[in-house]
Amino acid sequence: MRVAFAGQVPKDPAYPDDIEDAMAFATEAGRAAISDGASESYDSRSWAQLLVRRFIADTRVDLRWLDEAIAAYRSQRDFTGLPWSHQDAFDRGSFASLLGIEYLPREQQVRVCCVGDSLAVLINRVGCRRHTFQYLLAELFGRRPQLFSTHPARNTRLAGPGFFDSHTESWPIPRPEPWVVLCMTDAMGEWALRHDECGRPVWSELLAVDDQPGLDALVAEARQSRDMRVDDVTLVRLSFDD
Amino acid sequence: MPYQAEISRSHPTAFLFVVDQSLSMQSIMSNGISKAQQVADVVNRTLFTLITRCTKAEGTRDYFEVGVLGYGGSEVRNGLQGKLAGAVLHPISRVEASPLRVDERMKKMDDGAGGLIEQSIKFPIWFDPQSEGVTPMCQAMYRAADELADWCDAHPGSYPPTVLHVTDGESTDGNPEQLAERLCQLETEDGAVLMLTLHLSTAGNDPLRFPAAESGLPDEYSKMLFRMSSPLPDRLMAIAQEEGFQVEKGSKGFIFNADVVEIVQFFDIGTRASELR
Repeated sequence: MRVAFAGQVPKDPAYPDDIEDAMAFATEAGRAAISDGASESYDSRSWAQLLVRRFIADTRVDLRWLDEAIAAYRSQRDFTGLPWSHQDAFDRGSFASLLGIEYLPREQQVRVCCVGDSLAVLINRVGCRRHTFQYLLAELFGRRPQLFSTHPARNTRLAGPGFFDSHTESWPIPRPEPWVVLCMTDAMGEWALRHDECGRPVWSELLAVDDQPGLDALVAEARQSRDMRVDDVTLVRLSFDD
Repeated sequence: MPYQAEISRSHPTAFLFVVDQSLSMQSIMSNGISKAQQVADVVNRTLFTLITRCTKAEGTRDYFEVGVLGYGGSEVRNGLQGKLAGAVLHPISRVEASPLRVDERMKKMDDGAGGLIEQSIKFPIWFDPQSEGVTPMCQAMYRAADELADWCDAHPGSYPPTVLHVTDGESTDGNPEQLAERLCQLETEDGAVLMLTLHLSTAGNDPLRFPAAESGLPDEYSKMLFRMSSPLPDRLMAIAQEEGFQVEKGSKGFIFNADVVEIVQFFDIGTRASELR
């Protein structure tokens, strides 16, 4: 597996350093992860970064994994030392999605773990879509997604039976066809699925994005025509052609 | 489609609380405290919540500008005093930095291991209750329009301002309906000023929440306040539904005879505007 492209576009060009999406890769181990930190939360950038780093280190995402992530996040802050406005914001929690990819070469499979509204798409060399996960339809992005929270009480739905199994999928990628997995956060995912549903060759267009100026231009044009929701955008292209 | 603009630091929105501070606000509610104190508590809690929503690890982002106008006796006054007395509307970071005082309260909190611990938290106060004299509501509407006209001119691309008006009495300086209408004609490119009204009536009638018609209201005065209120945009309609209120097409941002819990919900729903980014 190799990272053929990875780029990000901030939601507010006036504040490029405030991007709250995160991504991490360990290509030798066949692992990649992206996370979308929710705008309206205290420190979703740190939380998103922590989640992707933890996935790269340990792909067995379950309640124990999440509890350890929460403990690591909380250990970074001394609650009693925070100003009053930060105490309440910290207590409301930080929220982020997680989309993790693990390449299993022996099985010729890609395992996809997705909690929240990021999107993974498996396409072949001509841009033909084989699988998407977790959403199959653009309209599903309108729902309020279940995200990982730093506040344990906000994670109760994750404790339901089979939650993590139902948020994991394995895709066969038989040789020798050069498969590609596209990973993207929600604004681009909604835009791409909506155009795919209308017959636009959107996956080929995304395959053609191979540098940051190309991604900037695509997002700027879509935002200008109010065709893409204004949010942080992350796009990653993983190739399995070697 | 109006009321769709995302709220950002480049395009903030505004919340203006317009609070009746006439003598009748001294009357006692079912929880044993005065309407004036109850409303002041909720305004302070709402300001706190707005600040929390804007607070990131690196600081408070100016997604909102907020102000409070109080009216009672012969005047309309700036409800924010101390360092905030010099203007009505302030960026939320300035409000965060300038409470009148900070009280200590106890709060039960998650301990991160499945249990609860009681922890002392700070509760800032910006707005103190006051109740005196008559009810100059026309003056208040006029002053609100004055403030928001300038704001809309300066923020043409923003989600429009929301006025949260709380009153229990009849206007004593004339009919405010036309002035409210003029206030709600102010607009940004994303829509007209929203007026949401909480009528804490002294009449003993049953509460009426977000009605679509004035027919169920008991008197001409409550009907006038209903007409002064804006229809709920789709997003606020959805939030009101999530909170358990029955709303329908044409439902207005108006609650008649709210109880203590509904006062809190009214402020919560009214300040949930659009997505922050």
